[in-house]
Amino acid sequence: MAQAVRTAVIPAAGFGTRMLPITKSLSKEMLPLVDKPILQVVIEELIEAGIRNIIIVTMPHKTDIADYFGPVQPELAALLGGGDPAKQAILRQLEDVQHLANFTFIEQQGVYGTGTPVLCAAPYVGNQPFIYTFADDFFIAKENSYVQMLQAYERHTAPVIACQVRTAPEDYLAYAYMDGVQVYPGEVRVRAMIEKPGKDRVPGNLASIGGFIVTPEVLPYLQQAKAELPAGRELFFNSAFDRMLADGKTLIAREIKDAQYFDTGKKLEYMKTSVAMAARHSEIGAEFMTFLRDFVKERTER
Amino acid sequence: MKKVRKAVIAAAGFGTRFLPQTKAMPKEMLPLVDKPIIQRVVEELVEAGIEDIIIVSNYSKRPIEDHFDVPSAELTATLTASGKMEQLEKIRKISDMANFVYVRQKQALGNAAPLIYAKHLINHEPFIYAWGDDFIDASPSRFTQMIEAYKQTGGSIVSCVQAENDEAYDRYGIVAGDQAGDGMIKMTTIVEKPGKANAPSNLASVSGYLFTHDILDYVDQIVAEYDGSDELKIQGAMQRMIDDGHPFFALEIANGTYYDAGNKLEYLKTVFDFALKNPYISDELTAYLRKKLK
Repeated sequence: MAQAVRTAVIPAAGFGTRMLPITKSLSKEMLPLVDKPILQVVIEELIEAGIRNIIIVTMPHKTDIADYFGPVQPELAALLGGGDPAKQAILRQLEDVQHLANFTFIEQQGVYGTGTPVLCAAPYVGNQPFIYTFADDFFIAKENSYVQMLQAYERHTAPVIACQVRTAPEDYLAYAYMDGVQVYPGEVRVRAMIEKPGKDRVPGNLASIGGFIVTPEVLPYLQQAKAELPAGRELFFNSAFDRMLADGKTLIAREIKDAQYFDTGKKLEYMKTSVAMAARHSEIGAEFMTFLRDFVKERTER
Repeated sequence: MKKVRKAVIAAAGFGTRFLPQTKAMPKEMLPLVDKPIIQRVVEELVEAGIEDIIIVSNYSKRPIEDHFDVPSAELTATLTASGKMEQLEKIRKISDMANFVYVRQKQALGNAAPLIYAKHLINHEPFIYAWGDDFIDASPSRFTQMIEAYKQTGGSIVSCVQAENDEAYDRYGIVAGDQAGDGMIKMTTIVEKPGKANAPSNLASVSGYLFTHDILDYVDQIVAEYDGSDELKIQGAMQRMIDDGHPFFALEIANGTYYDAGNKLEYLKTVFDFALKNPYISDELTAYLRKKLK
């Protein structure tokens, strides 16, 4: 029987060089989507899907993430805690941030690559499945994307790879594509994963986008990949999956349905995501969209 | 006449209008796409010839200091390893833009308070007093225009824009005085938030001042008489200075757009204005917005 998934591991040890200069002193995961950090959007999605423990793998000196998800600074609390009910409401909202989940922060040690944070966090997860998801991209979906992944996990008790259908020529050179057979609507048992296949070699239209559900079974394969990694190379998380497939293990690719994917790691994509989040903002959404409409109209007429 | 070489940026506010985002980061560091607002303010000061920039901050503002420092060894190593030397050079230059000095505001008494803590660094020179979260995008830059007006008049200069709607009269200080040339008023007073009906002119004081050093004596005066019943306002010190016959001019900044990034909606508008001016993303973003808004 499938174990309940209560933990998520989020890597946040990058420098965000594509967003410089702002990331010279701020973490890219903490850049705002209107008025809340990108990472909080990801975490709220995880919590809605039943996650209670969040392990953030960060790097030394990067303290702004832990500061944000920790207690409110006493000076700020004093400022907000006066007689104004609106400010008191904000204070309560801020205090709630630290109680969203049980937060653990660990420092990344080891070689570059998406596999290393998993190995750093694994001892703190224990012998349980967990979600592995990135800090700067997410889906806005009709049904929570992590819930969709968890459904696939429960059905097959196997690791899950979140996917979307991607057929643009540049996508074939950007993502890993799934080769396999459908075992449930929108769920494919993976035969092979082909990294950046190009249009000629692409085995299907499902591309790995977003996060994963990792089972304890994956870890020995990742450790093995690390042990055999040539010096100077990156440890890719997918290398564990490649080894599992070679061993005949089950991996499930799950298409995230009715969803739009947002990646905030690049300037243009960050702006597009900001538009989407501003449009949904309860306080300023309507006014902002009016502004944008006039703005674009003006530019079109010019 | 002394050259204007110094600027004080008040950056000690808590940014409560941006919460939760500003729970653990300075509002002055909110990005305009990829650059913190305060860098935009600093660049403009530097372009106008300012050499020393005094940032009045508080305990939570360390990212500002880090931003105007040399890049960290880790970031330098990462960029070097990936051959991004041009980017490295660009962020290294940020630390060379000016002489940065940081002082802490020990008590948040009002918008005159930062000057109490910067006073000993001004040294009897004229200086610009600006905020870290608003600016006027103008050509030539607003600080250049202000310094030019100071050179002409020898007086203190208040940066102004025309009140663009009725609400502005309830939000800003409106200046009163006698016309003293194109876009300039020799001030007799500044009326805080008079409302449209009682407004003495249509010029709203926004986004900074150029003061002769005398202002600091007047700040001392209002501090000495401060009883804690209201905020310690710079406008109080300015009025005393005007009343004592020091020349004060309100300057309407020409060819400018005022950006007040002080609340969520205005901030977002500012971000998109800048995104659509950014040559790397402008075309694609415009195309995206057109499609989305259909």
